[in-house]
Amino acid sequence: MVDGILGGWEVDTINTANSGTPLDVAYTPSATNDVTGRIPDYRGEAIMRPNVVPNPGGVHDQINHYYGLYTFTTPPASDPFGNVGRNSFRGPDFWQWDLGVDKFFRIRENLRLQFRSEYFNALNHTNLGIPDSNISDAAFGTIRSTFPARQIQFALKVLF
Amino acid sequence: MTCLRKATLFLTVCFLSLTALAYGQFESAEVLGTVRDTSGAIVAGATVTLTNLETGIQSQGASDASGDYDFFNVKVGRYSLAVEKTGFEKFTTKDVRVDVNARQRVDAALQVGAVTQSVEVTGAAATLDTDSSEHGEVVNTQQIVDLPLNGRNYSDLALLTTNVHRSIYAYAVPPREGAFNVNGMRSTYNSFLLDGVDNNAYSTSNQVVYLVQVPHQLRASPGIRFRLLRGQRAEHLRPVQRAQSLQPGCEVHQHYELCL
Repeated sequence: MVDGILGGWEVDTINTANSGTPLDVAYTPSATNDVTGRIPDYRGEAIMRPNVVPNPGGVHDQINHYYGLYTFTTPPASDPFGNVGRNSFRGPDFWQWDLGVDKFFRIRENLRLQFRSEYFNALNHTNLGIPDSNISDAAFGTIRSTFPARQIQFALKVLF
Repeated sequence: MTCLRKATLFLTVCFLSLTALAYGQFESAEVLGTVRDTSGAIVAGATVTLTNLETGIQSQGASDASGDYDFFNVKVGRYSLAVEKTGFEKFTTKDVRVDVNARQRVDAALQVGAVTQSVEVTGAAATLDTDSSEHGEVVNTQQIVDLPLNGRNYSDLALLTTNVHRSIYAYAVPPREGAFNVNGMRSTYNSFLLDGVDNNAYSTSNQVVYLVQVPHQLRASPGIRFRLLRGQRAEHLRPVQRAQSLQPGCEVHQHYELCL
């Protein structure tokens, strides 16, 4: 009876924390700026990088003005690659804590039942997706996706 | 909804697998080392025997002119290694664990004496991998069984290793299953091997087969490939061998789960 209530508990966790992935800021070239044609980029489409200057007084926030502290301009056709470095920006950080609380029930000597409850992103921390990094887009500098909110999963396992 | 479908699939395949007695397993590892005497001089022509502690299968080799021996195609598991040479005491070590795709080094140091005498050594298996330039990490049975795993999606275990980042495409509509970025690469470039056999869908980054059983061991090698190994059936067929086996992994192949 005591073992049935107090025994067989298990707690396990995974904590994941990392900085964001590198980002390239690009523009969609007009026909005069285009050097490779617009083909799917895993086949070798050139990422056209714009020119950048700092904009210290700009409006900056993560969700709507990710690149608010910089001003980007499309380079002239004579010189279509701008001065933004490759991978010079970083996406938002990621932090998630997963928790599992499990309980074993002994039924017979070689038969056990496990009830698992698993909580993913247990603290419901908002992890933002990647910002739109194409200056030709109307949505440039905005983040409109997130990683999943808290998810809970229950499972029943028979071990024999 | 998806969960429910998975559950059905799970049960169907479970019954099928109960009748299957063995699977082919192409994933293997290597055990190598150098035989020396106590002064550090090379011992050539020593007989080296590698025994699988779970199945009892033995393979035999000899050290070459530079004292090196090498066993290829070694299955994952626990092994003992014995080295014999006339004029030396027999050298044995019992705690050699061979992981997925490992190059496990076990160096032997022979002492002068009669072959009938034997020296048992613990800790002879090198813990630091100096024989491979591959950078990877092994996720073992205990972790696989215990850790919370969303949707029992085995590819999420790769996130336990360094330089692996969750991809936002894993949560897109429709989701790209098994999407994670390794060393900043696109998830399209991930490659999945199941028991050493290709398990890719080649459209996105998909793992194809839902696992019937909890994988026995898994190795993530960032930048190269993602390996996975199902539990070996040998123990399941040989209850005696199983009783000898101390690794908690042996229980694994016999549990099935239902996703609720």
